[in-house]
Amino acid sequence: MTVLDIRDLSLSIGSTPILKNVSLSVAHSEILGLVGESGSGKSMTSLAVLGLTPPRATMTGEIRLNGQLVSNAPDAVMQQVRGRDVGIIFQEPMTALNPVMTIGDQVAETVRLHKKSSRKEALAVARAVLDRVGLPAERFPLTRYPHELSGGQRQRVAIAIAIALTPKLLIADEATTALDVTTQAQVLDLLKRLVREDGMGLILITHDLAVVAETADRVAVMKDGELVEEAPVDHIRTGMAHPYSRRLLANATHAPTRRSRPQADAAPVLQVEGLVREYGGAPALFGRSKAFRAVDQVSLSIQPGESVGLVGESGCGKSTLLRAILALETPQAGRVRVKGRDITAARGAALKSIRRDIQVVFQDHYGSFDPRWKVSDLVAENFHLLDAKPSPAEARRRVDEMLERVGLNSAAADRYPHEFSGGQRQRIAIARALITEPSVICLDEAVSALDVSVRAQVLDLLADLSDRLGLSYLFVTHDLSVVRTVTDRLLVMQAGKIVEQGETAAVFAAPSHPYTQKLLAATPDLVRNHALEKEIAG
Amino acid sequence: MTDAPAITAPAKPRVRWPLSLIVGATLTAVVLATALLALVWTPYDVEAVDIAAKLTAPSAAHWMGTDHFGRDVLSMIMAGAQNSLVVAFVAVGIGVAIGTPLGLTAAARGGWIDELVMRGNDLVFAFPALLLAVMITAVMGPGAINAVIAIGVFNIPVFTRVARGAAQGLWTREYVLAARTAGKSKALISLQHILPNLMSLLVVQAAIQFAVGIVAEAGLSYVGLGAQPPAPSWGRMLAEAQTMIGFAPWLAIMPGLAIFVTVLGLSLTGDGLRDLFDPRVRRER
Repeated sequence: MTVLDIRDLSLSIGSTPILKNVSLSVAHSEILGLVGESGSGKSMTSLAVLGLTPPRATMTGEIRLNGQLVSNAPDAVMQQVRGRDVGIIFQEPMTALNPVMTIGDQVAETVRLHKKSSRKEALAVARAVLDRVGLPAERFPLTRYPHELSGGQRQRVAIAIAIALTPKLLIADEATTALDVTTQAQVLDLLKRLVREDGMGLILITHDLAVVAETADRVAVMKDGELVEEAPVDHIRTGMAHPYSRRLLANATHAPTRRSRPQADAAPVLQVEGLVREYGGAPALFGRSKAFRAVDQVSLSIQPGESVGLVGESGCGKSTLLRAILALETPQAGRVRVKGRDITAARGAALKSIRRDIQVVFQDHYGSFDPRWKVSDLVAENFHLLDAKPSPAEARRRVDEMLERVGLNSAAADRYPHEFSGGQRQRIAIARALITEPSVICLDEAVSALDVSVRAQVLDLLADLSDRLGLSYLFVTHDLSVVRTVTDRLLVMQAGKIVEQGETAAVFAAPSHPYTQKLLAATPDLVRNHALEKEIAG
Repeated sequence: MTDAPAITAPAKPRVRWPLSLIVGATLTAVVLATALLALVWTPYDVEAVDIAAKLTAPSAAHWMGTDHFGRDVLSMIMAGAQNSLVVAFVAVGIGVAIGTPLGLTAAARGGWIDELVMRGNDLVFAFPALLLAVMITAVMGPGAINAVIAIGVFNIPVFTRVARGAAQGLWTREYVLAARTAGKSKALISLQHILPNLMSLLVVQAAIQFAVGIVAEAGLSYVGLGAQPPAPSWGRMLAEAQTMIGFAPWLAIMPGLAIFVTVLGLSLTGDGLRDLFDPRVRRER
């Protein structure tokens, strides 16, 4: 029996069509994976089900929830439906919860809004539901506040709110995207268990095909507001029909071709020895505050032309390590040498000259560029590192040349960063890093936020630049699937320490440290699935 | 490298001017125009005493009536606007010019410099503004210039705080980290990246402090510590009207209205500018 039935749903905002003739259904106890790149309309579809479309949106078609027609229903009706019949979980658990309300009250609120129960009864329901989502009373009393919980625990509270009234349909909109892989695996397991126990339908909205492959029963692929394919989930393994689905799959597992090999016998371009970075430990009112060691005796080295991955979950110290390597923070002990020169001890002109050799590309975000600067000025900013600064005309010529090298045309120079898409902005960031012709580029989650097709393009660009310029890369990321195809060597970091390192292929094939094993087991694995697909096809 | 997607510029959204900004800016413009007009023309000579026409109620000849010396109230208010605006404006200037660099420095350097600046700030903040002004004028003598200094000193910590708070947030941005990897000094980054990005906040705060300054100037003049006679001043007009409020209420009402309109205009302008600059507020409208 179907829980949700969407027929010919079209939605436009003003004159812009957002959804075009989308038809979908979800059955009891079924998990539907809804995948697509940003702007494909997958979130808008779920908002339409909840009657939460933007004010100026016009909608045609039918949405039936448990047989009841809910499309274009009045808000008073939808308020009853939301929470009782449909629950939703969003990506960011911190902002989805009210920071000044206890978790007990937040779960109880949903119950009290829909059932005329007393506060005491509602809290009893809240207790039972929190137990179900794996937040037992001993460790998680109802009086806890969201800030006292970790990201994964907060997401469990959000799930508890969504399932408190045992809805028929649960929508999880990128609900595990912001979580670490091990936490993501736990939350997905929890969702699977709840679907099994309650018999509700689940729509799992995600950009990550691997998550769908491991969790869902059926997969629906959206592109530009249209549903291009709907298929049983094992078709991800055995072959999708629509060319776009195939391309999506290929992009997600894309391995750029690299022609040059790292020079093993040359002097390393980056050498880190016994690096320590502590926070706290400052004199406090009574004695000293306890120091927290974010980076603990880390050593690593990168050869010319080599690409090294540094993976670890949030809070493992990888970002701190990166900032210390870039001399943005002063370590308490240890050395960082770039082409043999110590960046940690350098000051003034010496530091500037070392900085020319090591540059960084940050995670694509609005914070990556000064919104008031034009692209030409942003890319030219690193000319500050040169002793002899080029004339404005010369600088402009070199900026144009660099923009073309990273695949943008020179007209981009006169625009502002917000006029570009995510992938284009990342190309600008790469151009900025490359302008002083460095030897090493550190990439801080540089492709994590990009759609898979754009990610594949950026990875190709990086591989191509490495081949032509002999660049070395340090990929810092939480996403194992990124580093798998593009790195020669892999370092695994846990609690400030490097716990395992080795050839990337070898680490993936036979991880030796328990933490690496745990990490790999938790990572949804499309490469394995994809290899299987090829085997079957071949 | 031919796979580059076309560069697409999103259509520029039409700017919707907040109503508060339109009303506020109009009121402020009227006050400003009046003050400028008073430089070259007032209906009557501000200092001309005409005992025969003393304490006449508002009429066709004297739109806002006359005071106990027979001076035209409208002319005095027009001339007084100059005094109020100049005092408040220069005081805001002092606050911005000293407070902003202090805040930027505190945010950029952190550590003991930050502590020093912020505790100094607290010290100034802890004094009631008017008491501080009374102290300054008591030591240096009453007068418009000392009123300016007194109000200006009070403005310094306001701008220090605004600048420091916003700058601290900006220092964690990735573009600032990128500027640091470009080898730029903290001072240069503060100037090139931080200051331009908190300009909108400073403008909003300046509009609000401008309004506060008008009230403070009126307060100081009221207790005789602002502009000295015979220079016209809204605050002193209020003070002088006090004893005559029973039989010549217009003497108190007119300068009171002038202060009210000016402060309202500036406050609305500040609110409106904040709405205009803050995309979150803008989206909700």
